[in-house]
Amino acid sequence: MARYVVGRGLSIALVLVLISIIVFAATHVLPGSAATLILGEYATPESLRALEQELGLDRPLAVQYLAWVGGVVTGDWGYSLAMKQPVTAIVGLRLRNSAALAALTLVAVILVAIPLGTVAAVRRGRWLDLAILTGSYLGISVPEFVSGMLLILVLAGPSLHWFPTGDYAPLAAGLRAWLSHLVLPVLALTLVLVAHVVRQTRSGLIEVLRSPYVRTARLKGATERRIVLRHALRNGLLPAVTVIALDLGYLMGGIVVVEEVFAYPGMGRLILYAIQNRDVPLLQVSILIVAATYTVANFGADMLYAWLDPRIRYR
Amino acid sequence: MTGSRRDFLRTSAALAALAWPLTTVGAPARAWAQGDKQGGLLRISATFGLSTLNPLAHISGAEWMATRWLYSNLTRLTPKRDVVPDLAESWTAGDGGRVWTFKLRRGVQFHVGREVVADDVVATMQTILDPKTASPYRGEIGPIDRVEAVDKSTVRFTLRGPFADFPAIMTVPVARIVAREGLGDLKALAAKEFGSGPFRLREFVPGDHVTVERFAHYYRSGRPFLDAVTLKVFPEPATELTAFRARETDMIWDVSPDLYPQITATAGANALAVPGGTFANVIMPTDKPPFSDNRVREALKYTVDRTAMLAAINGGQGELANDHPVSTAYAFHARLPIRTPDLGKARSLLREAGHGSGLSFKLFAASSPPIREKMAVILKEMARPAGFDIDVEVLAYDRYLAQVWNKGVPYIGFYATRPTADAILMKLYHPKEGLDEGRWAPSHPEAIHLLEQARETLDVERRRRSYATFQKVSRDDGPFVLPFFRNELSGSWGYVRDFTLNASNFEVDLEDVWLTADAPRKKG
Repeated sequence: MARYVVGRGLSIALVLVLISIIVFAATHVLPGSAATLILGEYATPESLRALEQELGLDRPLAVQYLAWVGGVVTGDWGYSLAMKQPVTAIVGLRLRNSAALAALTLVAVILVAIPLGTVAAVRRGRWLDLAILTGSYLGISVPEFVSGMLLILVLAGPSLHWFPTGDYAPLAAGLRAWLSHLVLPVLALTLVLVAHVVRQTRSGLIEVLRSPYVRTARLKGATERRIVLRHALRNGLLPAVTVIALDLGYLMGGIVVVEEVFAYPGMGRLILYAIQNRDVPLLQVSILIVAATYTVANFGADMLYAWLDPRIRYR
Repeated sequence: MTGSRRDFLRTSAALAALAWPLTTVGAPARAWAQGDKQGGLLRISATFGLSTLNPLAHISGAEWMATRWLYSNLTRLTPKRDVVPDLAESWTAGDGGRVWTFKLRRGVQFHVGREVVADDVVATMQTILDPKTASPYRGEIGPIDRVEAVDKSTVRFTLRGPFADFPAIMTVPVARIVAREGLGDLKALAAKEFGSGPFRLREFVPGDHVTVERFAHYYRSGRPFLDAVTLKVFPEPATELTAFRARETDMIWDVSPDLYPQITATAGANALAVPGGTFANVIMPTDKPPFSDNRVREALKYTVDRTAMLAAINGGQGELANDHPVSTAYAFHARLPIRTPDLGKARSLLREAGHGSGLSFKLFAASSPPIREKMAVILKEMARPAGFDIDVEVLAYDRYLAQVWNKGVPYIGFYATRPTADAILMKLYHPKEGLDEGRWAPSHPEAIHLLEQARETLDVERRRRSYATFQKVSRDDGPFVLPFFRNELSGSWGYVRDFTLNASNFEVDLEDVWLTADAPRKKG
């Protein structure tokens, strides 16, 4: 087991190094440099040259990359080219915001989707199953900018105004203020994500409910409730765990639209900004964080498998 | 995809507007005592651009607005477009406009706690002019040759040639005066301030919001009235509008024209519109065919139904233009008959130019701001009946900057209002002081000479004549289709008092602005 964990750790590190090289190379394939974007339509050939020199963009690519790596190794994550601030200061806030949004959304998704998926599986083919499936499909088929905007108009508009339209509040401003800003984006994201998890829970559970060991349990006279909750659910959840792990990565860096609609400063918008401004140091760190989330979440999911299904052993 | 998303958001905001009950903020007519005006937090929203607070490097309107609160200039531009004293109490021109001497107001305090002196002005200007600073505006603050402190409160600028508008140029956002000690580390200026403006920096989260608070030692005693101001970025205009209607914000800085009618329809809100000099233009490179032939340029100009285009793009909010950048907002605007659409004439001009069977060309437009794409698409349709076959390519702003902008191909440009006609004309037409994106200067040296003459004389009548001639030449022969100037649009709640929208809309002067007692954040 220990060997497995170390091996996975090394492979995660390798993936991150490869990603940093790919991101770096890809950014330089894009037309224009940070200097082009910083100076915008005020650029002159002289100011472009001067700025590229100041930002170190006139050096060979390999030198730029190695300089960045050298910084990271010594704990210097670099300066954002466009915002002229330490990357760590800029990323810190967005990371906290994204983590809060992702955590609350995942909790909401799990609390809603797993019970719904379980009920649907137990009642498969009946009207309740149909209602749950249709409902969750509705959630996934309405794009999040539509559901997000509708939530804003109805729940944050001047008539009800139960929640703020957007923005965020730091935890220091009080739990209530912090939470109130998160409710609508969490709702919008939950609507989108619930369908995946409901489907996976339902199909996973249906399969398990057909398996010989469940039949054995039934023959032994166990109640249906005990069969589902004690025997079947643990195994039936395996596919759902994979989906939830992938959702975590998505929530940490892939929800640009929701972050824009709710004016919520998270990692998704930051990555978009970094790409649009060719802000390589900012982009590198942001992408690495998201990539690390994906890989570590997947690793976590694999560990969870072993716990849910003791037959799985990692070597 | 993007288009449909935006459309949906607009429509949903419109529907919600219909559904909402009319909530009125009563604005009782009464006299207000000075004490009533004191205090409160003003919350303003914008949709983009809050990366840096460095006045030497910022290039977006929202950033210009924020540094206007933190810093002072030598001079400032009023909503009536007069140039009035700010840090400079008075100024005089010498040597026919080649030497400008500014007398500084005494006792003005920087936020860092010392007096503003001539050395600060000198240090700021020298830093902007230093090529190593790579300031985007090095070319936009006048032909400064030398700047020196005559004494503690006198600054003398010696220019490379006479320049009549120099005091007006000192109002531009880059000419904010920074305390010397702030100029040592230009990187730090992105998030710190060293100004003497009415507000000081409280908090800045780049890309999200900036909060400033009242500077107690501001040189205009009793000003500002507001305790604090927050500028927050809402990337999605429909959310921005909802936040405003729910009174989470008090003012929308720049309202998009399709949402403007909803501000007008909101009871208790003031919809603000002011004619400005902001425009989008079709740039036709005149150094190669087909646009080297003025008949082709004129033909394209004749295809444009300017009234219809203004209505379609900006909801009719704006004024028609004559293919040159001098709007009525500028002192030297010349009244010339506006070109009316004439497809017959356009067709025959094209035929004469040898394009009887039609002419196709590619026109590039960046996706931001939206006015560019709209103009390209509408022009394509308007010009088609005359024989133009325009292939519109819309591209992301980053690609546009790197591959299209100022590269000698036809594209849609976009320009904000400048303090003077000289500033915008030089930027557009002059090959050295500006860009000459139309590659027009080499074939029109006499027109460029007119611009140089006009900036170099202090004789207002002579300047007026030169600018009038130039505007006519540019209309008839120039390298741009420039159909209209858009009004600057803004919105605020009735409880926000004494705010005047400037034609340079980023000049958001909040010194006299105050909140009535029913403002949501009058206290704290």
